[in-house]
Amino acid sequence: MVPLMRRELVERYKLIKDDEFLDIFALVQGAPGPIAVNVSLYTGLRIAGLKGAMVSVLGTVLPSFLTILAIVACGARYLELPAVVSAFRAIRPAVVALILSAGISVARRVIKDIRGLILALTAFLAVALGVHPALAVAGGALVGVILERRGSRGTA
Amino acid sequence: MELLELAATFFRIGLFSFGGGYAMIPLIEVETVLRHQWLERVQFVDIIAIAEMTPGPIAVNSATFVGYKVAGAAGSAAATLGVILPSIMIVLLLATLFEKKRHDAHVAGVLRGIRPVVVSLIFLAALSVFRKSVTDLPTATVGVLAFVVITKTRINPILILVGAGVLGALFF
Repeated sequence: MVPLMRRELVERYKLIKDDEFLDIFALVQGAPGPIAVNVSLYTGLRIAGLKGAMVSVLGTVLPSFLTILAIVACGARYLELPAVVSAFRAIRPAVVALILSAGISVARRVIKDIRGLILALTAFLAVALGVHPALAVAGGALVGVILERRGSRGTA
Repeated sequence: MELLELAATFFRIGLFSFGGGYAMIPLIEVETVLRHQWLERVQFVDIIAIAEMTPGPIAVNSATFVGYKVAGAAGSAAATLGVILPSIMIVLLLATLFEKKRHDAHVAGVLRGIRPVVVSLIFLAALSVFRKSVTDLPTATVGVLAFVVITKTRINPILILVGAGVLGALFF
């Protein structure tokens, strides 16, 4: 869901810069709850204040809410239709492609040197091995602060 | 009373689940199947299947579903509100703290450290969906096809997903 949001907000409507969107995505890792809701809330807030936040959340939640309501009201049977099952089987790999292309475009802009690459690879391994994503983000933040301090002392 | 109980339960689920998506499933199961017996285990599996097949956050999907089973449409609304309320409060708090310090040098350093980590989280998400979805030649073909279309054209991704769905319904 987040790559779709990025496409629409950053690339199509240019409501927010890519870096800003990325930072928001990172920051909300530190908040509980559905990530799509958190990201839409914060981007809405950044773009148009409190009203923007509320409208964005409503926009994120309503389609799910109404879809499920329609399904349970109809008895949830038509999801088992072969055509529906097949459609979803094909949609999921397309979702992979969507996430992957977002990852590549973000990586190109964000990873500028060997330090960034090492940080990304370390985080990838850590989370793949079971470290909580929020903890990995916190680790990245710590490394960032340490590098910043060193830089400002003029050792870089 | 049931509505309040629904809202409170899903508030807890929203509050204590970090990481979103699949990370929330165990907590939802404990609360709705074991603790409240609102659902049987089989029904819970159905919910996960439906949540996976329909758009939107799994937490919202399951809140709407469970809420309806317990107390109809009002139950859906209570549970959904409950599950997103902690997010709203905590993200607003986080945002207020962060917006003031956005241009501070330390904060800039923090963001420079966080960005590469986020890149890896995105690739991990791709990997996790890949494992669950690309299981044979047809699904691999759709994946590659979609990737080429996404990177080489400016076609709206929502259209690409719909297109993949139509392809699947016709040929899979």
